[in-house]
Amino acid sequence: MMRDTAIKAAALAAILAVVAALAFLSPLPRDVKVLLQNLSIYIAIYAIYVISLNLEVGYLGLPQFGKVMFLIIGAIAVGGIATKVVLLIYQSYLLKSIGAAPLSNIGDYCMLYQYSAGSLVNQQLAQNPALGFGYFLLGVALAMALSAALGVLFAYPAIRLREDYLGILLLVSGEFLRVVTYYATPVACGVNGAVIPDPFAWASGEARTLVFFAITAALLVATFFVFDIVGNSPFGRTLRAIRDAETAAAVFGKDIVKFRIRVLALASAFAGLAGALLAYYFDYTILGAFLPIYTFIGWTMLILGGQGNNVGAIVGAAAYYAIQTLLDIYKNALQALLHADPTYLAYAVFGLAIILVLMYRPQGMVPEKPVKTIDLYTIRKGTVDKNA
Amino acid sequence: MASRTGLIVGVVVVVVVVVAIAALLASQKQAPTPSTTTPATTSTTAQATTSAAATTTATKTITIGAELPLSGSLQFMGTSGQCAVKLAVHDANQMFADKGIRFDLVVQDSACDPNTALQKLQTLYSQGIKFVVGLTCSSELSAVMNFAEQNHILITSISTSPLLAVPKPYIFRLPPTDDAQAKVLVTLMHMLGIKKIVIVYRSDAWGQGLTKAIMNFSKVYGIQVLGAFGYDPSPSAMPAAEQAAVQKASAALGTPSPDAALEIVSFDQDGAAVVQAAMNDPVLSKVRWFGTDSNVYGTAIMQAGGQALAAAKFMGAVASPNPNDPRYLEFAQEFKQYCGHAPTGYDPYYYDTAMIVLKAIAETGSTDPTVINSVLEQWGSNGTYVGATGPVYFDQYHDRMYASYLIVGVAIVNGTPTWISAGFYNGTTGQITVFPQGQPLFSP
Repeated sequence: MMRDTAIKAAALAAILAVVAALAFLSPLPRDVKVLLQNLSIYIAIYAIYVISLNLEVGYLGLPQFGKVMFLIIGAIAVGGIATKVVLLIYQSYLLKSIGAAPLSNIGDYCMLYQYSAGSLVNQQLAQNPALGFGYFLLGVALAMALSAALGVLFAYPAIRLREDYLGILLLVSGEFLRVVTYYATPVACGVNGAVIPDPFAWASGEARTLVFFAITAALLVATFFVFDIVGNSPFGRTLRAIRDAETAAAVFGKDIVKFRIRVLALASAFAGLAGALLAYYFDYTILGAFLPIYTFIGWTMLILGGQGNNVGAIVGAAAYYAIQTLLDIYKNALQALLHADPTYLAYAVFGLAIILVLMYRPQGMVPEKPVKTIDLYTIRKGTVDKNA
Repeated sequence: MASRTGLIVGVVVVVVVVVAIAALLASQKQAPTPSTTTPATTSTTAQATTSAAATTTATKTITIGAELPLSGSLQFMGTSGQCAVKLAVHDANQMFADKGIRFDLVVQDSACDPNTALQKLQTLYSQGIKFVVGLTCSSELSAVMNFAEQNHILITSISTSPLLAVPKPYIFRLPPTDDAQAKVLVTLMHMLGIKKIVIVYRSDAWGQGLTKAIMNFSKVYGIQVLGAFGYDPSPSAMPAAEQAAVQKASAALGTPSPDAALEIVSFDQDGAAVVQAAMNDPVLSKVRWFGTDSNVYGTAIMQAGGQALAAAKFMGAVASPNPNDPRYLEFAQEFKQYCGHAPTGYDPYYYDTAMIVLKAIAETGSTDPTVINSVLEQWGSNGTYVGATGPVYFDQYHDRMYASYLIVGVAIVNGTPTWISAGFYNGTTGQITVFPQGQPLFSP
């Protein structure tokens, strides 16, 4: 089983290597390569996000309508906490350079000089890659830990209730967190948005993009590996049993609430990782931008790709971005053809795609496969061998 | 086995998708280009037939991009701005046809979302587009700044946040920052003898920034700010949030007096909720009201309380060339013909974000963003470019200097509350000129 997952993870790594070669080393025009580079990063980040959603929705059948909450938490961990740690480290330098200590008056820092401070911090981080990497790891670790804890905390009041109640609570929780943090300046500079120092400031231009892609790709492979192992373990089989017949699973002694809590903790942690990566990628975050649409983008990717298997989650993310990019490139040509305003074309296309997939291929592009289990003979043989 | 099939399908889909995008984009580059510096520059052939013989003239087509909020909270600005940008391209094509240059426009919806704005910019860049105009929200400009600088994409924006008054190579902002607007509003208040104000503001980056700037400039003129009260501008919080802020402002002002005023820092829809609350307030309904560039000319605010606005001698300032300037009049007339309605608010700025770039490209013959960046810097220091918004000067951060403002107010015309041009603030002299129709608004 582990071998099968390792093969799939290795195949994913190989694909990402091919993509990297195409995007960074091929003789394609520079502007096309830049698009492929950045598209690959988006797909990798959103694949992590959708894989985590897949564990909740595809494996457990949890109505996760508040997924965007963890992108917000990831952004807070990076833009609100890790950034402040770096500002604290360089506080005396900033005081000397611009005559102000950011943490002594966050309001003024956010409204008046965070771009100047960010630029100065980047200059320092460029000379200290180790600190930059530590700052990156801090943001990622905080995002995962906070997301896991808050994911469980927000869902806890309705964790014992039916799916629809839990779904509504999660949806509301995402909006609640967005609105509260957006208007709270101390969190991540509130309505002004937070400038995030670049942890990879030592690498510039295409090298910076390559480093970011390599790290994101490695984290995607690791995420895939973890979730595939979990999905094909006895734990994963129990999740599918709960999804398909909750009452039957409960009769067999499975504690539904405990499984929900564990799944929420694990999936939320990795969604928080995606949020942190997005924040580092943009070097800027504004929490008000994380509208519920980001939850439903994740659902769209999952529905298109296929629920209940991690390959489908990745394919869904890739397909979504490919379609969206192609629409962006060709929508002006389509406008002439359709004689209609193409502003909402992407929404219409994805809406139609979801309807068609649900009607004619509800399993998505990559259908869920039967769980691979070790047959009883092999298990018994192993037990006998051990005892011998 | 089944799992392997899924894996193979996945691999095939991903590879096909990536290769398809690369191939499609690369195929676009195969078109013959007269200039190697701009992949977006393609060559088309215009054939002119004469009675004697057919001659062929080469036309250089240059594509520029526009990122506008065609959906989301600033859609009302984006859709009108899109028409202004299209008009600029239309005008440029007529102006520079004799130079053998033709401009094309590709528009993307940024939705005022920083994540979307960066993705769309990357898509435009992949199409070989190196000039992007119209970026509106400060948050989206923040998100694209690094990418634009790294890839030498020249952006002209109408963002006004003072927070972005920082070095930003390849990015130019056509409207003045909100600091300039605050200065005009406070100058206007001082001229009218206002000594104390309360502020009700939408609590977003724009509202907070402008409010802080008003408070800072008020100190210069000795105007006392008795309180500033923010509200959540999201539609779900309306109108309770606005009403609560108005009540607090009323309590802070205490009693009405001729030297007191209410400053409403809002957009149109939320401004309507503020006006409805203020017109029924026993204190605030008896003092002067001031607005901003984002609620003057508003339809919702006028419908909500046109009579009350007129009674409170409501006035706001919108960055604008002199309305009597022939260039602006020409633009306004042409805009109305082309777009079907009169230009409002930022339309002349949207026009100039495109026209200044198109003109620089046409006059230099260069499509290298680095060259155009230098040209705009030079023009910005000399005021060489004079557009629909007047002469354009840039400061060291590529932000607009010496901006002039139109003072817009509400007066009863033929028994109906109507938006009127009440005066003009000259950015160069700092003087306010009162127009004849605006005299009643300036009287005590």
